[in-house]
Amino acid sequence: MGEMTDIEGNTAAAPGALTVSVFGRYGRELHRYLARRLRRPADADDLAQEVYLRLLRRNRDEAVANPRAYVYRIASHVVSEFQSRTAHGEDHVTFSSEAVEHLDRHPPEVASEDELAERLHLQREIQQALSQLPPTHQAIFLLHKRDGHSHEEIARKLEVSMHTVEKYLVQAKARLRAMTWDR
Amino acid sequence: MGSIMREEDGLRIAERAAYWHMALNRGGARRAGEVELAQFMSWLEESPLHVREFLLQQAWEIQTNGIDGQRRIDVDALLARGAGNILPLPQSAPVAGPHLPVRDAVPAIPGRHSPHAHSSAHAARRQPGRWRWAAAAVATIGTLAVISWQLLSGQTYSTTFGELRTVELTDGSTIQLSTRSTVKVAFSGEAREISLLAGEALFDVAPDATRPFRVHAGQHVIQAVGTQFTVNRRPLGTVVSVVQGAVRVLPEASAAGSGADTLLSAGEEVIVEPDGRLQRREPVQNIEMVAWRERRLVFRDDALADIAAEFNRYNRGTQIMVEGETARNKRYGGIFDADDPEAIVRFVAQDPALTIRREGERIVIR
Repeated sequence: MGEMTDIEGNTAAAPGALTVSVFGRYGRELHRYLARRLRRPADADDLAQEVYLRLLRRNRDEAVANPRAYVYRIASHVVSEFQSRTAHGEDHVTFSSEAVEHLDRHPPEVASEDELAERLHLQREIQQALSQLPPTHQAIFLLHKRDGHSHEEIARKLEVSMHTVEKYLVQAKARLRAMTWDR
Repeated sequence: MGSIMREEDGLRIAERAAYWHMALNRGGARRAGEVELAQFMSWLEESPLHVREFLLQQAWEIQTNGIDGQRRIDVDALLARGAGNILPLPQSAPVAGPHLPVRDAVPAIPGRHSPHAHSSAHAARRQPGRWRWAAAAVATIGTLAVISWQLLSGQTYSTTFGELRTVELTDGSTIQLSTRSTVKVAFSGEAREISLLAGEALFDVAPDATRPFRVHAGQHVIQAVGTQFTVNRRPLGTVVSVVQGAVRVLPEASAAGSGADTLLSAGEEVIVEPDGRLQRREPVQNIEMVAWRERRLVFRDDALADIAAEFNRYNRGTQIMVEGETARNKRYGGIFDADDPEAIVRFVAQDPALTIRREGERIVIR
């Protein structure tokens, strides 16, 4: 499948495709920032607190047509502010909401070696954790995430409802995340 | 933020984050509509932890693309092993509405870090809990509608059956939430307003002379004077117990110092009855006031209706109903294990004036 995936990989992700397209081309710094904190979620508290406060400051009447893009945009701003405050501040990044809207059209981006190593490390840990889930959870997670089957396709294959597939997926993902948290 | 967060809470929030991630990615006819988008925003606005998990979930999704790239894991073999274990859930149940955490409607997963293993086993044994949960959610919404001003702002913290939770507030105060309890926190430059919407909580108040700390419970307000105290909203009245320092209890509509307030100091306890009268109780041992933190329930001359409600907050399965005014107002004392509702039933069974009837998981005393 030549096109890029949607955010979740509902269309098939080219295996190993290193994409951060969901945050937009300019949300790359945000993704880097978050990826480094996946195993220690508490390290992302500062970012979350700041994004949260800005969300609350929003005028309540202000309609947000695309809340997800809105949150990412705020988060990208905050991360770039954090970085400009540090001595090793990387380039400023701005967020393009258009990038979120058209995320399927963005080409995969090449990650640095560090990022690649980080990702492989996480994936090894997740594979380990995966083997501890019940078989059906493992299977549904892999069918979706690895083989790129849609929820609907999985539901048909297993002869269950789409709701059921979604429940299994949500549970599998949350468990896998929690099992790879450092403590 | 979140330093005292329990692993269980972390998992639950991770599930919500994964759920929202999925819901916002649905396309076509199932694309998230206005209502869902608004629910998503409300969820984010509930807590910075939600924001954090949502952002991290997104990064996680990307980082896990390409997992098992060499396809070493045999999905068909997994499916064969798991055959018959898929539990199709009723179509009518929403995947995870905002008031129905995902974990309530899905089979439990045993795992390495499985804080739920115990409570989920409970839940599985006592299946009908799901519908009661929905009923509880509806009941909570009813309460919220009554106390409308509290909806205007603030952040809500809740616990479910059997769950205890500590919430750290930005001013350094903490709230320890008992099981099935809900508080709403609204801090401003002028005041620290908390609403106890359901259940019981222990408040440990950080001193701040410029911003009074007030707990609203039904028709009354409990104002802290640098202190530690618990408030418990029971069916037959709200119990206020002071562990340290002092509090003022006053009706919602009146001001402190207007003469309408009652000052309580350490060791004192009052019941605010539904008609607004305050009834003082015998002085208590501090340890008894907060025994629920060790999952012990201490009763001293308490009405059976209140005792049953207390047990029901801890136990999703067995629910004790007390019918008839005589039975509801019978008074008992004792120390009980919160997880053993049968103990109170055995205790009450000794009273010849009462009859006990079992209807499935309901125990009806009258």
